[in-house]
Amino acid sequence: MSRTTLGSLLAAGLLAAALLWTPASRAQAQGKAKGKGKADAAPAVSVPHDPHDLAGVWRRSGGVLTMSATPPPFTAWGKAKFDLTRPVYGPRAVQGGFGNDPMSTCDPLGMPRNLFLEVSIYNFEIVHASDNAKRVYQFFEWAHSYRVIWTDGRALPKDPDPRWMGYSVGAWEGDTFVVRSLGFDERTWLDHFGNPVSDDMTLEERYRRLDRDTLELKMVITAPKAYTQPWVSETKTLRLAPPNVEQEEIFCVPTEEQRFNRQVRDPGSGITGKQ
Amino acid sequence: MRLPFIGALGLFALGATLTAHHGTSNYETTAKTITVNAVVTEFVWSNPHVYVLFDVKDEQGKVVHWAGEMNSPSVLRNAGWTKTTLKTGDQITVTLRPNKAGTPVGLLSRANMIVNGKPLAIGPEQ
Repeated sequence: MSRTTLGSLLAAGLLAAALLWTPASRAQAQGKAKGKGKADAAPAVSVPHDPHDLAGVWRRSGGVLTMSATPPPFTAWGKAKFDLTRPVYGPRAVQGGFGNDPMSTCDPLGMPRNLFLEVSIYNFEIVHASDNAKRVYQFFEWAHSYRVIWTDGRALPKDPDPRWMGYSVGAWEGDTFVVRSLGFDERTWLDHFGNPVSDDMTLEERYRRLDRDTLELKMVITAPKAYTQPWVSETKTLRLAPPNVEQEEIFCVPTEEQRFNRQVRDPGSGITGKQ
Repeated sequence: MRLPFIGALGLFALGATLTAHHGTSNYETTAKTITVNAVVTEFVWSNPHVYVLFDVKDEQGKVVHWAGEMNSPSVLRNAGWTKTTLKTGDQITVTLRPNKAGTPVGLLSRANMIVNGKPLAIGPEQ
């Protein structure tokens, strides 16, 4: 084959590839691969961004739905609380109607469980506010819930009343946004496996934007009442959704959940006649 | 006219990738499915669970009331569904993972549903 002919074939091949691999086809391929239509249509590109601006809708990308694959050893109190849980996920899963996950009655998931997002399809949105006191809102799509992270320099309260989301303050350490929280309600489950939350738990979250579209999250919980040592999370990775993505109104509606339990979850577990 | 019960046709290896939405511990694995012909009695479009209630005639001609659990509205919306995609009286052929307790409740599999003779994709399971 002559050099001219080979060059012509190569040029034709490159032209064909360029025609087939249009931005539209690329976006379509990425959308299909991630399965969330428009939400994942934009390709990741390296573009300028403010590392201290975390605003946007973020979606979890891979990882386990808890801190890390293996929790630290329980205390006796932690073990007793864990043993009372009947999750519908994981190695201890029971049939749905026999479970006692607070989620199945639409109780608030609390923290850090909201960060595990339960399902990869749900997201959270971060909004920075400074109209009155500086703060960051984190809106969780699941259950249409939110929390406030105070960034005006205030200290964490001492011995606050327990709250589903705890009480949170945040500050920048270089390009890492560090959120420290305490005052949690121990009625929550730490994850859908039933790992315990105790009222002495503190949570540290470290958010760092690796590029415009990628947010890294590392966490540590310290809860001496429930665990014999701190629980360090795996590194979570979140991806920024395109600007046109809107969070949906995904309330967990108690009356609808009760009807679902009556018509599907309980009979599907062989439970009948439950009021 | 209602279509007859097809029964346990399947030991279909569907190879579904579960996202484990709200727990699927009630149900048999994806390798054990059944396919039934039915008539829709109600389509419940609610968060976080969408489900369909339908009547199936068993082999003796007796009508059995079934419930079929589906994914959330947001996932189904991405698959092109709306709250009116199914209507009372629609004739459907649907593949389900039955529950382990043996009651007429199942999880709709990823297999296409047939609605009034036309195939309809339902997207991922829970």
